[in-house]
Amino acid sequence: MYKAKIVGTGHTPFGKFKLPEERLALDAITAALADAEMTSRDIDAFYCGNVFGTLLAGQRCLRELGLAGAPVINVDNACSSSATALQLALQAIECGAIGTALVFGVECLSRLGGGTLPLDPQDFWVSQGLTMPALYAMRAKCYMHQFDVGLDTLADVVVKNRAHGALNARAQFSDGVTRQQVLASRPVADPLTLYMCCPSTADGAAAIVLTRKRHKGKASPVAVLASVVQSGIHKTAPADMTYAEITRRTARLAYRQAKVRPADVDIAEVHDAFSIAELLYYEALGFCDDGHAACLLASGRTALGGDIVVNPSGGLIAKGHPPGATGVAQVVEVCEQLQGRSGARQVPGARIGLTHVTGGGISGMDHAACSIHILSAATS
Amino acid sequence: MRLASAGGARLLLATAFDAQTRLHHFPPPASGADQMMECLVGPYGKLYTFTRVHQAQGGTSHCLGFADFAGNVRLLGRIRSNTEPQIGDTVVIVAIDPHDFSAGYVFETTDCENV
Repeated sequence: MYKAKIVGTGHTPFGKFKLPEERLALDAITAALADAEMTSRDIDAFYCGNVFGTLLAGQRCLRELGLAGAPVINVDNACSSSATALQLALQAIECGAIGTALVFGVECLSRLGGGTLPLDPQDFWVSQGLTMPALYAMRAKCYMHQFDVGLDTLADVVVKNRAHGALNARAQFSDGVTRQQVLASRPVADPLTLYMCCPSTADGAAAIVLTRKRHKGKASPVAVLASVVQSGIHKTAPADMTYAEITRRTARLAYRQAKVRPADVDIAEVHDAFSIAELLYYEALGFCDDGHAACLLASGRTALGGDIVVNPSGGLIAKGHPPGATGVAQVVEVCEQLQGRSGARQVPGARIGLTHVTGGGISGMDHAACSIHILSAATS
Repeated sequence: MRLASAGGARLLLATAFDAQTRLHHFPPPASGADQMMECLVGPYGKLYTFTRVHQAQGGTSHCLGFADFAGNVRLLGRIRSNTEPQIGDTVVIVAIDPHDFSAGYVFETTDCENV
């Protein structure tokens, strides 16, 4: 089996730009190609993650590059779209079907006009009024009730991630906030306030180049130790909504594939679409025992300067969450951390990094699609 | 979906129960439900979790929650309550005009302990 390495990365700022997806994607793609010291002619296949765009997002975005007929695979897997695209590219390289791939994700939510992410109106839960903030708010209620956790903890996740985002020029929110500001922001779905939710309108793109060939770029290559995609399991019986079953299952498979333990992870980009999510995923990813997420957060270990830094980019809460782009954007952040090129938010000596995205919004499932990648600085 | 009366205004929801997967389906699936048994759920349940959803422009808020019913079934529904609900509250399924709300039912909090 061939081994693929990440040899180039590109990432636009995230924010409200009202630019076409094509323009956003091209900026990220050309940056990734330049980083890899390649041109589009070096790419055997392209993989595009996109959720809310129109027909043939990948081909539209790549048209101006002069495709010359190379295959373009479009992937929609909700928030896991571009992470799923990455897995498909890895599989194609590792089985020898192709030598070099470019994976990108792009989204332009501002053209939807704001509001929560549109879900399928035919879905029964959605027809009852369920939105993603409401679903996570109900998880938060359960968690706070079950483990006697207060609102301050939910706010402190935001304070940490906004502080990280303030060090990231690509982040949608570049200013820090206080616990008081988080708690005083308008209620969205109790107990979640506005600042506890990732911005509902974000545009942006990210891209990476993978190859099994000799790399040419200046940055050291990054190895992919694990790439796992899992789907939700349909359940209608009562289940613990704080358990994050799909993330636990995906993480278990990823750690096994990578032959690493949670304690080996130095940095993690985690799907903190809502502040409660980061707490649930600390536990689901094995960074602490169940019910101990608030203690882990309060210890400072997940903040810059800690030993398991979570969301050094600012996460979805500060950096923003254009769903099609988020999976690859997380990979870009972890690559740059492992390569020592993260500037003011560099985690010193980071060797192992994890990315985690999970997308939901359909009846009867904890979440519909979850993806985890584990990366390490490659030896050559 | 079907609502069935049981004791005056108290109502039960009909789910389709798949004996193979041991799953209740509510509302019953568009296809394949004829292979399943009909199973009545309710009228009383326990509120597992809930949230009050606020409107961005300051409009009316509403409560939404999951309630657990005998038979190992969890359902989502709007909650009607004179006071703010609490986790563990007893709720009862109440029919409403589907023109007012498409689901045709809400959960109403109740002091009744007959769960």
